[in-house]
Amino acid sequence: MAQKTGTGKPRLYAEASLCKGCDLCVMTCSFTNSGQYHRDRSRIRIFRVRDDGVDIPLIDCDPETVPRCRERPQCVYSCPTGSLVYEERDAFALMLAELEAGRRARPSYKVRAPWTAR
Amino acid sequence: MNGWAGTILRVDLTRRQVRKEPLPDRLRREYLGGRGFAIRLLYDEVPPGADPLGPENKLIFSIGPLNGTPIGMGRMTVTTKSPETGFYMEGNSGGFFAPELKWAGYDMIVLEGQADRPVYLWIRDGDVEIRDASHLWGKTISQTEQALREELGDPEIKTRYIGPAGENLSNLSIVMGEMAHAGGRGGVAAVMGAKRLKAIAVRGSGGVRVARPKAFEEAYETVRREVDYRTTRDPYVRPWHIYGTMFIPKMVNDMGGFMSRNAQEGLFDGIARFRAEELMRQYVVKGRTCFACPTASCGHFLEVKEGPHAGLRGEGIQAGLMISMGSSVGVDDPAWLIHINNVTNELGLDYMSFGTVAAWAMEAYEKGLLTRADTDGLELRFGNAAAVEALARKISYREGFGAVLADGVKRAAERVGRGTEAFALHVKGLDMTTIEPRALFHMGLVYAVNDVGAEHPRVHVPYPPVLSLVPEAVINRLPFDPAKAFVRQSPEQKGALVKWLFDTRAVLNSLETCVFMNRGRVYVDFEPYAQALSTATGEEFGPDDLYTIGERIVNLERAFNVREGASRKDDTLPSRFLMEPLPAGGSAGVVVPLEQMLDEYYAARGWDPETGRPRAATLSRLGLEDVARAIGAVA
Repeated sequence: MAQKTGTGKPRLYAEASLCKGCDLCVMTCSFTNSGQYHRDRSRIRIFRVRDDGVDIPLIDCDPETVPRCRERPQCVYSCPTGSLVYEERDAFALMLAELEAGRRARPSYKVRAPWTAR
Repeated sequence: MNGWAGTILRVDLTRRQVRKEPLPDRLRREYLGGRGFAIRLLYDEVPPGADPLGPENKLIFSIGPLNGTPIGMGRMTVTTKSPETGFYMEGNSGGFFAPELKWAGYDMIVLEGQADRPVYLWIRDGDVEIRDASHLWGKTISQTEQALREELGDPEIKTRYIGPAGENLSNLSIVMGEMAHAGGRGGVAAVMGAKRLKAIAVRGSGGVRVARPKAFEEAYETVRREVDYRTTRDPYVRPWHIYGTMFIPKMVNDMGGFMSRNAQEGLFDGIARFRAEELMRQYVVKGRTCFACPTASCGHFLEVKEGPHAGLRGEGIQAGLMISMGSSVGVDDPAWLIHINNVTNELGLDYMSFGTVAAWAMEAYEKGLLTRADTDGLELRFGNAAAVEALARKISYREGFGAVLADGVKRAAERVGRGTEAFALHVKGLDMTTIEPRALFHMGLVYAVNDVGAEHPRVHVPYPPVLSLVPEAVINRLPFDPAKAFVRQSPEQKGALVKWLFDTRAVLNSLETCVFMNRGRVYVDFEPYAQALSTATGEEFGPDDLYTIGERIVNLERAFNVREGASRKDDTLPSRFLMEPLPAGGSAGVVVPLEQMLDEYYAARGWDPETGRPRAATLSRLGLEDVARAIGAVA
């Protein structure tokens, strides 16, 4: 859920180190938009270099413009790792710093952030 | 059509012709998809006595109505008649091929005949080509993947292919895909090699429509809630999210069922190095799953930072690897595990079957029944990792001692003799897998009666359900007493339980969906799956319809085998599990009481206990009267 600390508008961010390239967000977005599971009907694409462990969600969307997503972006809700985040910029920067620091003590943060929606 | 694509793709490799057929209504309603479709086709089209490596055999890749939606995840089925067992063989794999095939517009690919030289199949929506693969033949898996991406000009192709092990017709080979996904052991990849089919590549630009989107979404939510990290109430789910199956070895070792040294022991002294938290800390870079999986990371992307394998990268340490290439062969080095996983993946070699063969050879060597004269000078002692690696290559290329081993542990022991047959672990000729039957009696029954042979994935992950999550009405209708059925070292209720496990698993393999994610309420209560299926396809299915379809599928699989000469005598276990108790640990001191469980199984099935054949009444109830006549079923 977006924190409204008054420092700016929340935006969709994707933390690539948490992206496992599973396409759940792509599917959820397409379903939200069109009622179908179809890559072309999604506002998200995953850029992959799978053999090098690279997965980067590329999102072209302002959730304010999608009725179902205004309060809770469906893509963020679907993501099992916490890679997708809907936050104000500074709040997100803090979350990332804590994730990075947390990974030393809690290796599970490499695969799942503590802030997952589900 | 909603859910299903509605098209079967037939590929005649002999005539180099491709045709598309509409999916018959009867097939959809009575066999659902995936595994169900494949057995009906195999039974109807591959006659008894067909040479598995010849042109009469068929190789079938199939998916179900829920594939291409998030419930389908990456799951798909590959089916054929096995050159290793002479019976029906089926494998399940993940990754990303299944949704892509659905989006390209197909429910099945049926490969027929035999090409006269190496080919590969390129499917791009409606355009299907059989292309020359002579430049790909001999390549390892990553070389093949790379060459295909370049040749087809698309880094996002989804793939299924064989490596040198399949090309050389080893029964220890396996079909690989998307570099690190695997499924189809027991000679499936050898069938692909015999057909000279190196690879299939697919791209689909379509999607999946569901009949009632809102209701489907609710059904999806119901299923997903059972396995999400924050909402699950099933204690086996959360560890899965983080560690995949890496957490299993410690649990299994505590139970005294960690298969070690060719199942001579149930405790592994190297277990401390296989702790999931340590593996996570030292080797995991990030998470990896199949398409649309709701866990954070079932597989993992790994990197070795120090030691002789520094710089190595790989994907997926699963529990099976830690046993097959770990405790079974006496090796406890996790970095080496990542290495040998890569090696076997590249060769298209199934590490599980290979591990069983290697462990047998090591036991034989340590007992003096094999010597260095037999083994090309390799010192096959438990713990000799370098020897294991050398064997992997020899087997894949049928070189030297590898040629003795390449057809599986049963034939290797027959070739060597000298009493080594006594500890060659297989059922129906399929090399044993890694769940210890003396620790879990129901698994002993599973291994014995399974129509593909010694294979464990055709029942649920062997942890009991959390019955408090299941509606009481559903529990009361279970065909077994759960209070007794889940007592692991008791034979009671196991026949009824195993029937139910096989039948419900056949449903999961036909929808398709992932059995690792079949936990919580939906392990037992199939109402949410029935809802998902009905709302996706627009056709009504209830849970009882699904159970009937599952039962039908398993009976037809058995009938295929009966037609090939199978009977009760094939429903057995290696004598080690029947006669040798484990010496120490939490499962020590007992052997598998198979006969009693077998009798109960046949009774629960409605099969004749003398022959292990389905009775005519059972087959008729399932709409299989023609099959009853064909196999001469008794009333």
